[in-house]
Amino acid sequence: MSSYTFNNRSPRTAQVRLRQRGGKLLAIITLVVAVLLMALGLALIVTHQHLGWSLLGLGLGSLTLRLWLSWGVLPLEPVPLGTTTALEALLPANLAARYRPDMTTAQLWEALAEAWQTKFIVGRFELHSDLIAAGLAEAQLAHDQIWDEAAHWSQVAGLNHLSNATILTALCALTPSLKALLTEVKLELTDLAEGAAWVDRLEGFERAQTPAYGGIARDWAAGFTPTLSHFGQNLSRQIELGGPRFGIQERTRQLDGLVTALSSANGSVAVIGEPGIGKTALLYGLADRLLQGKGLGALDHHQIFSLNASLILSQQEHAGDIERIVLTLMGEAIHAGNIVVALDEAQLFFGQGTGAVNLSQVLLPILQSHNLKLVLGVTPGDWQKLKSTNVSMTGLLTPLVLSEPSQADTIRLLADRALILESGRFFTTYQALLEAYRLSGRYYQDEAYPGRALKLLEAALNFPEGQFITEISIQQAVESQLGVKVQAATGNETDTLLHLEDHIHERMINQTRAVSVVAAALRRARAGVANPKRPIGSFLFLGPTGVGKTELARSLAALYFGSEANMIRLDMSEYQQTTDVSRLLASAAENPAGLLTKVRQQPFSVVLFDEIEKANPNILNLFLQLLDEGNLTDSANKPTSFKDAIVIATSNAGADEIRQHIEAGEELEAFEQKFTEDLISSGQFKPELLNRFDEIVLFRPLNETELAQVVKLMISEVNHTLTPQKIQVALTEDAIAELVRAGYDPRLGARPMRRMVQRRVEDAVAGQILRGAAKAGDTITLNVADVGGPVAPSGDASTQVPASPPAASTPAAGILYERPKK
Amino acid sequence: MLVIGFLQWWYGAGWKEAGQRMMSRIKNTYAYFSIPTLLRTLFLPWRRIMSYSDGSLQQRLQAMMDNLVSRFVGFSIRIIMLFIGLLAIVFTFILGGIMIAIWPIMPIASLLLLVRGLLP
Repeated sequence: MSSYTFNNRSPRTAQVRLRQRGGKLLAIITLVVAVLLMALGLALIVTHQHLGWSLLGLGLGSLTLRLWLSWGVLPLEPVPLGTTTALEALLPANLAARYRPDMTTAQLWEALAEAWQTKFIVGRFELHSDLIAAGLAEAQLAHDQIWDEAAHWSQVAGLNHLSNATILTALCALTPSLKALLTEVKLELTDLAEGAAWVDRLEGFERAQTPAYGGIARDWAAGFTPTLSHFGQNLSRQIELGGPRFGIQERTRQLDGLVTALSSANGSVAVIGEPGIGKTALLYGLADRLLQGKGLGALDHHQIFSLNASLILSQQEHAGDIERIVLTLMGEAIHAGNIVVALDEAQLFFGQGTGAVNLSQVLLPILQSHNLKLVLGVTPGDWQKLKSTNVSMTGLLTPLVLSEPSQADTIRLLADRALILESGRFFTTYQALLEAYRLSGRYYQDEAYPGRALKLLEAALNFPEGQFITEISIQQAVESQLGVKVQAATGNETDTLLHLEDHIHERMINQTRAVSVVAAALRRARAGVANPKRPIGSFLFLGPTGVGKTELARSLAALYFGSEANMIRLDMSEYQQTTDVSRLLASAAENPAGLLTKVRQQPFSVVLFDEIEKANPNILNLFLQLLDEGNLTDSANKPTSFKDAIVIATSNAGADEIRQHIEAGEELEAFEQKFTEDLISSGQFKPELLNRFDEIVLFRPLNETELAQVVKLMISEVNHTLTPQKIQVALTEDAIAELVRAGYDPRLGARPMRRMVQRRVEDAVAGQILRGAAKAGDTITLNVADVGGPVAPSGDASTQVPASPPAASTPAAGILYERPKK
Repeated sequence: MLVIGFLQWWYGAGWKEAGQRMMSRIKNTYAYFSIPTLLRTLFLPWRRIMSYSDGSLQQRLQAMMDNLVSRFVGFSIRIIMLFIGLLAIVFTFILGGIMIAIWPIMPIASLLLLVRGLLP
């Protein structure tokens, strides 16, 4: 531990106290007084009044004071660590001005809390001053220990001096209650250190002077560029006017690469990177560097024009229009002599993409002549296509591949960008930045970092929490844009989740075991306990036909994703050939209605693979990747995430065994383990596939009592359909028993029941309505004879299924029934 | 302590700061007026406005005259700007030099002037 000293009477201590106690105001006053007194003094001297010399002297003294204040006192900064042990020099001025060696930790915090840097951290990290004060009320930390700890955190933050933020970090590190407070707001000490670096960068921006960009005569030897100004943006001009310079410091290495490539013999560069990776930001960085023109030789003070591809392509009225415009633009750029032309979305100029034209024959001679520097922005996929179709042209371009910035760099970019986006209206919390990184990585997969996180952050500005952009704002932005639930479950939703089994049973008869297994998996996912790198849940439903496998999948789509429409269903019997693998993995261009395209369009879905045992073994091998890594890659090499989907595979394999066990009076739990082993040993499924499902769920056959309940649900559905006509249907118990008897088939479960209800109930009701026997407000009661059964003795119609309409939450199709397979 | 602090700074870091600021101002003025660019491009045509001709001798002479005019315009504007820029640098240098020269006597001079005015 270092031994620090503090001299209460040192000149430095006196100066920092003066700085804190109205130093700025004094500097202004002394300047005004100096000007007035000197002017007055000179006037008096000219008029031969002796007092003028005194006023001039006072004015000069005031000016001297002003110079000392503004050049010597106000800019006082803590000296670098390791150069002294004197605290009056090491501490930030605000703290040094109030510091006493006998201060309690609480008093130290009071002094620290007054600095704007501390308020910045407390506010943006959701720490709350009063909670910190309460946490430090009883603390008695040794001061030297605090300074040593702060020095450590300064080092972690990349600072060479103590700052208010690193001292706050030290207090949190040394005080258990503050550590707990940090945990409460989902942060760690390293986050606070990152905050200290954030504050330091902000102070740096404020201190930074506008660089010299070449002066007034810079462009006098260059030509005019009216056409370029019309069809492009002058990025250099935007930078000159104070444009987007943020994030430039994080791209130094990439910029070095770009400048080197532009200075090479080829002189033109293809900047290759996914959308959002920062190709445009890199161009702004290049514009800034070229404008500063430090040792760039021929590139000194060159300007970057980024051409607007859409505007150029929209000019085509006659054949050759585009070529003529592009030739004019290039000619103007060459003639101007100080232009670098950037073509963002360059693939549009080479015959790829909607509305694209092929200008390779126009651009090739320009590239070959090396008279003009071109920067082409392309995605890796487009670059590969360009390489295969325009070999001679791509050979003249130096490729520069951009990679995604690290998480730390992305958060820094977000932090700096947030300060610009806020425009003084909001304050973005650090937790919001972390959440923007996390959620954009999960849900915005069409773009790369940092673009996707920046977009989400911008979208969150529409969802402020008071004056703050918090992690909830970010979550709301995702929910609003994608319709997915990412916020913690609250209120009614919690109730729904906790009673999920009850809600499913409103639409499902029995299958208690299957329902409870699936409900538990959903609760795990919603509570954030499940592995986020795999699908929300993956289930293999095994059981006979017509027992509710598809209905459970549909219920999950409705309850978890809000609508039954959020179910993507594939009949795997259509994928039995080896060639069907490519059909399954078709890209959006090959098959807009393919599985992967649908999942990409609607990632929050139940994906149901029906009759999986019929699929080709190669397709089953793909399932290993899907279930393990949560994604599949299409034929265009584009990954599709299944991480937000519930994956369900169904199979009738072993249906007869299940029936035999149940008929023998066994419970599902008693034989499901052995049943699974039998499936493996019989070669119906590979063990590696079965092991990758979260749960293997067995469905038991329905007995006649359960089928009677199914009929009641179907009648409820009929009543729901009839609601607009204000007519209801009721069945006697005998009529229901007759329908069950007629529709019961142990091999097909409840599947024939729908046909039976249609044929015998709906037809009877339709007949009565058409004959005018039923009118609004009536309840049609059908007895056993009405549904085609033997006539019962009189009096049997006393017990009826009530004609009450189904609960509002029960969807029309929400009954245990599987549509006949195509 | 403040007085000691003031004197330490004034005759140490402060004087040095004054010198650095003067140099910085001169550099900024030099950059603002693009002095090296003006010198390097002194005789180049104004904004690259040039004529080309492969035609008759008269047309070629006409193009040459046009280019001479363009170069003359460029030269005129640049030489004027060069003159103003150099003047500004000299002015900045003189003011800064005076400042640095009188810097050590400023505190004492203000006292002497105050007394001078109070004396009969």
